[in-house]
Amino acid sequence: MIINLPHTTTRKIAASLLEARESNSQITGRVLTLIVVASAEDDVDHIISVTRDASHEHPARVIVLLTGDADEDTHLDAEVRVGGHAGASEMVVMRLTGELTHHLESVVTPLLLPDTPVVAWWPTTAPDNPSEHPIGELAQRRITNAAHDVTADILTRLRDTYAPGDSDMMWSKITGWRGIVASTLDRHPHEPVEAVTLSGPAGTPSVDIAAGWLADRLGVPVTRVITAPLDDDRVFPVRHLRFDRASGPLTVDVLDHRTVRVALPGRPESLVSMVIRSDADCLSEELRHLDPDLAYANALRGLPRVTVTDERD
Amino acid sequence: MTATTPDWVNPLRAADDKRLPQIAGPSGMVIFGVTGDLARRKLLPAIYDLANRGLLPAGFTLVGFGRRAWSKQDFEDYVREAVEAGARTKFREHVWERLAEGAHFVEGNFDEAGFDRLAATLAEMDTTRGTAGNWAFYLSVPPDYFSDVCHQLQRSGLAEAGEDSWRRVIIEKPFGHDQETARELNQVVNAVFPEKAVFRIDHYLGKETVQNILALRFANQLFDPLWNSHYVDHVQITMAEDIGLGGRAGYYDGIGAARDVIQNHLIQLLALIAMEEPVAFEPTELQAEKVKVLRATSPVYPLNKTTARGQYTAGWQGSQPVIGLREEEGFDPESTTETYAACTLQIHSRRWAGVPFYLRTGKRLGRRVTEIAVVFKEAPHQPFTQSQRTSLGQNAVVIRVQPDEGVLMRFGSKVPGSAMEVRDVNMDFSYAEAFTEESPEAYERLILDVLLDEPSLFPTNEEVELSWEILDPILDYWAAQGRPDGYRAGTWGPASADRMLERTGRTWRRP
Repeated sequence: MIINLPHTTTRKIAASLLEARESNSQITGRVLTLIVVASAEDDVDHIISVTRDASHEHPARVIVLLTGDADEDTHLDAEVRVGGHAGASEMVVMRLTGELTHHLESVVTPLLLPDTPVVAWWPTTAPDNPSEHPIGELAQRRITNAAHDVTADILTRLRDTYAPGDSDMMWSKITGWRGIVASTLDRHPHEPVEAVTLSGPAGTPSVDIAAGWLADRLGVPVTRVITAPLDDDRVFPVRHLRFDRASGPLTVDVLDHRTVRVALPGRPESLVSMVIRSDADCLSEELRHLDPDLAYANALRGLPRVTVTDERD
Repeated sequence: MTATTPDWVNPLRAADDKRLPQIAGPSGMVIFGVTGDLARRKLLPAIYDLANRGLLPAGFTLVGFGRRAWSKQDFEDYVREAVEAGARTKFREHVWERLAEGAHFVEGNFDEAGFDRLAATLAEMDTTRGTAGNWAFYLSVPPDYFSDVCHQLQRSGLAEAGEDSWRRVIIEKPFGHDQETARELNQVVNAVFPEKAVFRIDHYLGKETVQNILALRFANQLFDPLWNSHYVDHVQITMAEDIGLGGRAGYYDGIGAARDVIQNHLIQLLALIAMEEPVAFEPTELQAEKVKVLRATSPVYPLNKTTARGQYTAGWQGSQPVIGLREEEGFDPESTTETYAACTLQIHSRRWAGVPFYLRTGKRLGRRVTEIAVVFKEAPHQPFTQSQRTSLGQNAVVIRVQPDEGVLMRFGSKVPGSAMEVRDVNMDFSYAEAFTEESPEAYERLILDVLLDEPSLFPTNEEVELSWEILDPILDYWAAQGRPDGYRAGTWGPASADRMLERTGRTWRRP
């Protein structure tokens, strides 16, 4: 069900949510409020469908703030979505213009669920310092998406502004791969890793954060090689990983967009399938743990210890 | 020699890295009885789901063992069919391809030739697939064969792990049919596999709600103060099924509801509800507390008043007419096997003295439901008059294990209006609403736990023997009583079960 509320107020939105809840008994037990901050220019349909898919796992109240031109007249249009149009959640999509775009925190305050965590997600462009953004200050968890607007200094900026509760979808993108990599070291022989090399194209922050993670955990030299751009963007960006160990190199190579090859000296090669994670998968994972992600913080801290070499022609 | 230390820790795993998935180490699984019902409906789909979630190691190998003259292709087709019919996650061709690569079938009986072939196959897999000598043997066969299989595993050297590798065995209920046979069975298995390599599956323990009993009780301040005989009047543990026993005569006739369900599932649930707080959330600590509470548990006598058993007769199961047990194909028309069993247990401890635990289970009951109801005493004093609280019952906390997993609290509330009247209301927490639809199936969880060597959710031989010790006097008493009472299919059991509670002024909850 979609209820259109043109030219409205937060009071009317709250009343309409309550009414929808009373007439639609399916919505109970929402565990968090998710605030999505984007611009009216973004791919709104995509953002809404990602949130809807993620909410299958995490029933939430989702507040989507789409900000328009701040110089126009102050205006608020809203859309309340419940039932099939909102996944397991209830969703409020708001389009704001004018003066109101500077007071997002006031707009969401009456709509936050009582005594449950608040998560902020910037699916496209993130503020320079998420934890000091008014919406970021309200939230326990702040999720950004560095892959969407890559700048040369994006990782440095995320590291410098890091506050407990921050994380980025470049990190959830590599969780499955990290699991495979960690499990390779569970195999005998249990030797120390002496050096690490991993490669992937430029402009893929997931490769850099993977290097930071390895540098932090292993405390050995880590080299991140910048390769030519990928011909197939479905392929996982960390194309090649090599652990140097006494008995020889252990490698994890991405063969195609769903297969990874693990090879150890003196052992049969084995293939393992790896599903590329969609934005909805990543968002779902981000919502699974609402406490500060210390592993992510440590991976950011490992970044300065990574040596970067460029192999592009 | 390799540089291996026994307390090696993977440097890439950190306690605060909650996202990193715990993938099983290099390993393979051999399923005996792979053509059976359990393997087809539960095990094979669960293995695929694990693969699809990325929790199986690279090179995971699945070996089926059976009498059929199957090629690798035949086996792949069979597994694929089972997976497509039963998997909970989406079927992905590339995940399937990887799993199919590692699927092999060994044809054989439980004799020397068969196991020699199996040993050769596993040795070959260890060199070509990277299973590294780590194998789990799933005995999805009737317990009569456990002895043969264990003996052959030992003879062919398969039960013995080489350096830096492991061998584990998984067995399914029934774990014997009384304390003595359970002990014999444990001896057979433990003669070949040390107890720490034996995983007994009680799939109820793999369910989220069952694990949630521990979280509910020990992570909260809200419930624990009430969790004792000062406040609790009695506890009802129910597992009802709506299906009959058509086609299961071979397994069920002579076994009956108490051995099939009470001995394992219900007594395990009782242990989790009643046990004291474990020192830590560790397998050995949990087992220590479960064993302690089971040792303090015994039937309430006289058994003719505190137990009930029944056998379903023809009736209507909802909108379906169904036949009685004695007419079911394969059952002796004079069968005395019970399809409904109820008993009263007591726990000799300060916490539970005087609180009866009523356990009941049955086939062809009103609907399929498993739940635990902790029913509280009435308030010691009521300022409201009897007429103001005619619709007020006893407060209750109900843990729904299946279906619709969740927790319900029942208490009195004022009825809106100008008069003061108190009526029961429900406050309901439902898993499906508050969390994921992604919770793993019980078998998925348990199979992964075996591969990861995580024994918390598996009953030990001691727990099994103790639960028989509780049940044996009741079974012996019933054995001398002839035919169980009849109850019409689709109802909530025989009249004797209702009398069993009425005796103390209580009634069964309609679940």
